[in-house]
Amino acid sequence: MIIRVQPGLGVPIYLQIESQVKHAIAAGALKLDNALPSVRKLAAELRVNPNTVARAYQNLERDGILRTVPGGGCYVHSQSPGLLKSEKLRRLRPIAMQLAVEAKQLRLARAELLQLLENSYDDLGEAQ
Amino acid sequence: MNDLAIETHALHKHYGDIRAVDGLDMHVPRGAVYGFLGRNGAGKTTTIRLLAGLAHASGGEMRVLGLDPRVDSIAILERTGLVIEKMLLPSMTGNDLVRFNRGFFPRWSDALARKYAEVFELDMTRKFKKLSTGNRTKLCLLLALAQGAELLVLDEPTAGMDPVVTDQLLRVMVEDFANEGRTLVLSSHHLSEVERIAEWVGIIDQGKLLLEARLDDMRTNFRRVRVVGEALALAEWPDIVSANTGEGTTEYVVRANADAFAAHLGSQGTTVLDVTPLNLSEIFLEVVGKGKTNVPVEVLA
Amino acid sequence: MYLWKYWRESRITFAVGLLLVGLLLWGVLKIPVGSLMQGPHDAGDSPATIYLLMAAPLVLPLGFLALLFGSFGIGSDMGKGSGSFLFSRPRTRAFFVWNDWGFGIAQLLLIVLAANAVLVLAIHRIAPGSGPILLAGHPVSMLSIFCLHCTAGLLLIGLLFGLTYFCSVLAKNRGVLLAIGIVVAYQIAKAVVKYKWPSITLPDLTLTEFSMTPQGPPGFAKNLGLEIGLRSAVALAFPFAAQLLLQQRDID
Repeated sequence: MIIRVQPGLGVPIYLQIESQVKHAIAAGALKLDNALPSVRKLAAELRVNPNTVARAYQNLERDGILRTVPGGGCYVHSQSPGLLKSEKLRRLRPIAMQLAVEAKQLRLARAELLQLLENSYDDLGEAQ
Repeated sequence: MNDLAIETHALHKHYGDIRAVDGLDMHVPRGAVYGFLGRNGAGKTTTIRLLAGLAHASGGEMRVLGLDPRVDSIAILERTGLVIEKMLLPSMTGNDLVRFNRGFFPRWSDALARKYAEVFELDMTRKFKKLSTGNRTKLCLLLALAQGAELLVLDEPTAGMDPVVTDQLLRVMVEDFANEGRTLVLSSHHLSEVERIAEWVGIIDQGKLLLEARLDDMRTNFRRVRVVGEALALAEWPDIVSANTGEGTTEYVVRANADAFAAHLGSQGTTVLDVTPLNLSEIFLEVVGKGKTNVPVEVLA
Repeated sequence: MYLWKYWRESRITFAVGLLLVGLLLWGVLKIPVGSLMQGPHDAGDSPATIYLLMAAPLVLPLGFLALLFGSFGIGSDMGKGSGSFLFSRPRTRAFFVWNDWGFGIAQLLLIVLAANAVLVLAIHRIAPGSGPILLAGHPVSMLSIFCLHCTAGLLLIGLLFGLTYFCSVLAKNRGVLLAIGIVVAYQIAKAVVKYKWPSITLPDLTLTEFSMTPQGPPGFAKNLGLEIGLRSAVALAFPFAAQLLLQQRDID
């Protein structure tokens, strides 16, 4: 099962689905033009509200990660959204900031933080 | 015809001195899955019985599918599937009950009844009184589902159900009810089930609705902010739901604007340890933990 | 659909009721009639008198059946916890009351009619030449007497059935006991009143269609029309009261 959610996490389920899809693509579990399960099917499997799945799919489509075909069906559109580099950096800045804040609070050294980041990146495998 | 399936305004129900429903303002949007959450004795069942016309309200207004239960109870009941008490007619079998129930509802579907009997693995030839609790509830649900109702109101449908049956039920709810233009109200204190499928949540305590919001908004906005230090007084910050001190830290739970709050604390020289989300169970405990303090109803847009 | 449910609940009692009444009548007809018919035929032994005497033993079993039937229907359902289910079907509370009451009365009426028909047939067999009889000087046909007896039976069951039905709506599982209690209390009250204030007589539960004089043939009781009217009113008042009670109340 490519997508798994934990409703008890306190993170909205649609966000979890979105990040699961992105994670799967980044790790190579989902490749270009792979089909994703339909909204109804995924909702039934996960036992979550179909609107939640629909919202996640819509967001992913808006971001250019998925595309829908008339007549149903959701497919992986691209592994990286067609965004300008500046836009990509803009998107990541809040997460980077949060990471920096946390690291500072925990008094983690700069080098240690960079190491952590590199390890995480490498664990995902080759960027496609 | 407005866009609310259920709406109440200052609804009251008193039994002598007991205020079972004490000024309830509830809004269930049409087509939504609404989790009606509360502890035992909070007033969930009483509210449902008022909406179904089984009990008479002491005061206030209510509308179900645009109609007033005091006046148009029959019209409401034709279009609403209800599971309140899990007791049908004890000496009838499942098939008898289908036959009995069919005549009351013009939109009844025998095909749906057969389908759910299969999905729920029910022996429709056994008398109701001989069925286990879980199977009884499933049969009650079957009758309500096969009715072709626009609105389904279920009072504690998973009470006494084992996890397998609960899962079966969730699947049915998701496949056949959610997002079909029909409205589903689930009253429960089993938060893990509600958390999966609810879009809206109403938390009731002591007969009042303490919080009514989209579940996703609650997940996004409720935050636990932990800081170093004890007994910090910040009573004026409006979004604080609770504050607890101990072991060298203070924990605030805020219902919105956590980042601004953390920044505010930081600007006062307080070290913020972390800002973490809360799940529905934790939010629930925080909200009802207010107990007797009057917390106004918030709709988080 | 709803009547089907009531039928399922009551059909065994109905069948047993018919059977019991039939057995009782058979027993009753077997014994005294023979000896009665052996004696000299005078006005006191007219078929009407015989009919009257034969019908008397019916009172207790009919009353008992009426009490039993009164425990069926919505009162007993509420006692079993099915109230929430039933009253959340899209029907008025009046619907349930009048369907219960109507079907119960119909079944009881059938038993009354059957019992009386059997009696008439049996008497015809024994005294075949029975044309009109003289009742206080007026010729009255067997048919009129039959109708009167049926009316009396119907009023009796109407009263007791209505009372029990109302009591079972009021007190659910303890409804029958309450009704029996009321009937017993009334009989005691009647006796007490009769003893202390002999001039006052509380009305009987059963309708007295005929006045029995020690000598001579029976005549119609006075104020028969009034008696019938009043009893019908009381009998009908019970289901109305049950309806009002249900409409007022919260269903739990």
